[in-house]
Amino acid sequence: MNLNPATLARVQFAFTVSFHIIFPTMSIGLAMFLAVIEGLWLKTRDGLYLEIYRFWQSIFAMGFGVGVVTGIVLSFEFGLGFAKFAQLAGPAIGPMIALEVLTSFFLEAGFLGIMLFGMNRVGPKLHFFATCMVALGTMLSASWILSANSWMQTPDGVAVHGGRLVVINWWHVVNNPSWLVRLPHMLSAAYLTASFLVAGVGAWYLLQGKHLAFAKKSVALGTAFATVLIAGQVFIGDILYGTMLKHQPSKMQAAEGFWEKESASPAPYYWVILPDQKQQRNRFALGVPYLGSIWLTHSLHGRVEGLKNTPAEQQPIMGMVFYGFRIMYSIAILMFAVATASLWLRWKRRLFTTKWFLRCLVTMTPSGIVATLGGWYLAETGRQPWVIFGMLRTIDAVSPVPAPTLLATLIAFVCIYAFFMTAFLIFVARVIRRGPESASIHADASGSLKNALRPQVLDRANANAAVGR
Amino acid sequence: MLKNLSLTFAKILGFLVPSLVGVTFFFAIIGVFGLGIAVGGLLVAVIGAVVLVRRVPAEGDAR
Amino acid sequence: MDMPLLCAGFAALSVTFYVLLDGFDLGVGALLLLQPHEKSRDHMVDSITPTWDGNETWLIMTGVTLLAAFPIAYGILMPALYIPIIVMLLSLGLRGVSFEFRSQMKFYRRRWDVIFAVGSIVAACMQGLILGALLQGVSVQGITFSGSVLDCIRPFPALCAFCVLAGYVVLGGCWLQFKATAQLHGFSGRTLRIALPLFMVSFFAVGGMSLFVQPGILAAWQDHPVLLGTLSCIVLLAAFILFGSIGKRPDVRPLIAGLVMIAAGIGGLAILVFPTIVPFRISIWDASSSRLSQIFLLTGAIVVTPVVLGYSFFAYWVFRGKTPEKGWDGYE
Repeated sequence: MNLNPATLARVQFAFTVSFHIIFPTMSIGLAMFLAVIEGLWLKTRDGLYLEIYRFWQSIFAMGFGVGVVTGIVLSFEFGLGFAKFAQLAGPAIGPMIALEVLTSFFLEAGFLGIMLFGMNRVGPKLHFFATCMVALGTMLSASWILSANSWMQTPDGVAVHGGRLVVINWWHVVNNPSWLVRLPHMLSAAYLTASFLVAGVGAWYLLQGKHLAFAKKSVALGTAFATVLIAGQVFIGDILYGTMLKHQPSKMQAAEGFWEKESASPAPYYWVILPDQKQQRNRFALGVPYLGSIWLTHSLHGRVEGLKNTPAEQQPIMGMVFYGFRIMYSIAILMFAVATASLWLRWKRRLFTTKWFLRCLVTMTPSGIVATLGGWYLAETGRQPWVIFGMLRTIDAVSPVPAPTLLATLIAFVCIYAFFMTAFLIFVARVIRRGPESASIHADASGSLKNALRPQVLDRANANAAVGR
Repeated sequence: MLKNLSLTFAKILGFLVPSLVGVTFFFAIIGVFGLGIAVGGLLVAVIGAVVLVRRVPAEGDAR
Repeated sequence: MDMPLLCAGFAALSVTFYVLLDGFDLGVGALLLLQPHEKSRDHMVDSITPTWDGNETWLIMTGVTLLAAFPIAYGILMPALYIPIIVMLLSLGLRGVSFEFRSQMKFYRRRWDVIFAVGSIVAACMQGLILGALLQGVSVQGITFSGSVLDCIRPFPALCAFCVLAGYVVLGGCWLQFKATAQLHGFSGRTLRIALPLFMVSFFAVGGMSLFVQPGILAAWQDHPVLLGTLSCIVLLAAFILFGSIGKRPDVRPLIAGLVMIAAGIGGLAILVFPTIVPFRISIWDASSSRLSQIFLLTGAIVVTPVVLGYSFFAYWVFRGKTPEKGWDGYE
């Protein structure tokens, strides 16, 4: 890999955005989970639900914070690394990103404070409303960002006049061909991530024999949600596959590992390949016979289109697209297997005592995150060499910044982000070690606008002001 | 010994049957059998899961 | 309706809110290094605890407004200011994380204090560097940045960095005058008596040097002598009032004077630069994105900005008055 500015800019953006996506994925999922839990608490008045709420609330708060910090970097990084892309695409994606920022601030200014710190200060209905609004807010923010990214994948609604983009039809920009299929896919991914996080922590406690009631409820809830979600997710994924096949054929051609314009019939389903992009062939390939035709063409003898259908200079790098896809898909299958197993064990009344299954759940705790990353690598590397599909190539979009500068800042990002991640993991480990009974009624987050509503803080402030100035 | 054999057999069956059923569902859900069956499979899977989770309380709930 | 003008107005508003709201807490952070007493440092941090991170909202708003409304300017300025922007973003991020951890890990508090302070200082200096580089003028060819990323590391921007840091320290001192009691009150007074003259000297040095560094500024003075002259007088007057009201009642007077002083400075900068958005190079109309995009942006802004402002005001109002010495949690 040579260290030219284009490669470095790509690596830097890939690193910061991969790091960032981990946190909003958790935030969207956990926010919805917290809303459901609070609803259950209000309906059943079972204190266990309140315990679960408090436990996950602080992890949610910390993750939200890291997501915000890393997100701020991204909103500048479009211009820092890819100035020409920003100049061209600004009219289309700029307002969408602005709306995402505004939505987040709206939600953070209004409801996050109440949700995290207002438990005893405001009525239960208002607090629940706040939690629901936060969940809704994260969904809305995600939908704006996803609209912007989907526009990059399947652009619409614009015309080019004198080298600049002019928006002709806003609805077509926002509701571009892939947005409404990618949105539920991403949201499901977030909810699945949260489900496995919750189930994994519960399974961990069960294996340790601690916090049994909390653990059992967590495993039950987590696996239940995962079961319903994974079925839907696989289905949505299949629909998305068809959509992308239509709008971005090069991506799907690369994703399956076939080179020839028409594969052999019946086509195998490849699991391992060693692709050689220069020679346009696989040096090694391992697959399951017939399965390719079955899954990809829904017939026993169908032929699959290979990457040679796309001219070489418009081809994405097969290795990255293929493995991004396989990682995501394999984890989906694993999730499905775990979900089915959980149903079976539930039927047999052995859900909480089957040790191998609990160990499985613990291992699957970060599965949602890994699958989401795999899916995003499929999406982004599969779009290459375009940054706006069919309009602007990534190498033509790079900023006029020299390679040494890019390298220096890349190293700085890696070091400081490593620090953020360490801080986050230490925090989460602490919360888990302390257990749900020690979870405070309000999030353990720090000084901030949200902090303004902490009860002990508010009390002090009011007492202070009452003394008079 | 015969009892052990039938026990093992029951266990194997208890493992094989859900696996096969699961695989079939998976194929249905990813649309291999056609859109109609895919949607149907999805509905069965989701409704079935919901019903099962609600009807069959996970054991030993210490509440 | 002149959309580019309205969007430029919104961007200017955004920057102004940011500087006025985040300036003092960057200043307080910087002052942490000068404060030897633990309890006083805790007191200082407590004074900005409730409201500090909501202020960064406006920084992001500015960046995103540029992307959506003036993408040509965004695409020129980001690579031009590559180094200071990234250093600033990373130091703001470190500030945030160190703040979180400061309250979680009490025994490492001093280390987090240093990180918080250094992050604040570096961020402030980078903002000054950015300002100086903008005034100095970035090299542009067509709509592409054509200079070097090291162009911003020159004497004039460096002087601006010092000036902005001094300005934030002044605001920080004013904030402490307003919020602090006892020992800290005296400390902030002493700091102001040194920081304010330093700021004024560097402010006028920057003003003077700018006439030589950027011919566009000389032209702007010739075009709007009365307006710029008035604003300069307001800055001077506010500084004098500030100086005179240090240590005296009402405690809020230094802060108000300080905010007016900085706001007048920003106003002057806006007049110097108008109507260009890549200062002295590209006008707001040439840098604009499509009309529909700007309308979309402004609509969202009009709806959400009042809410954000309202909530911010609420937070400041809740925490009105002096910061209690025992801190907000009551267990220091």
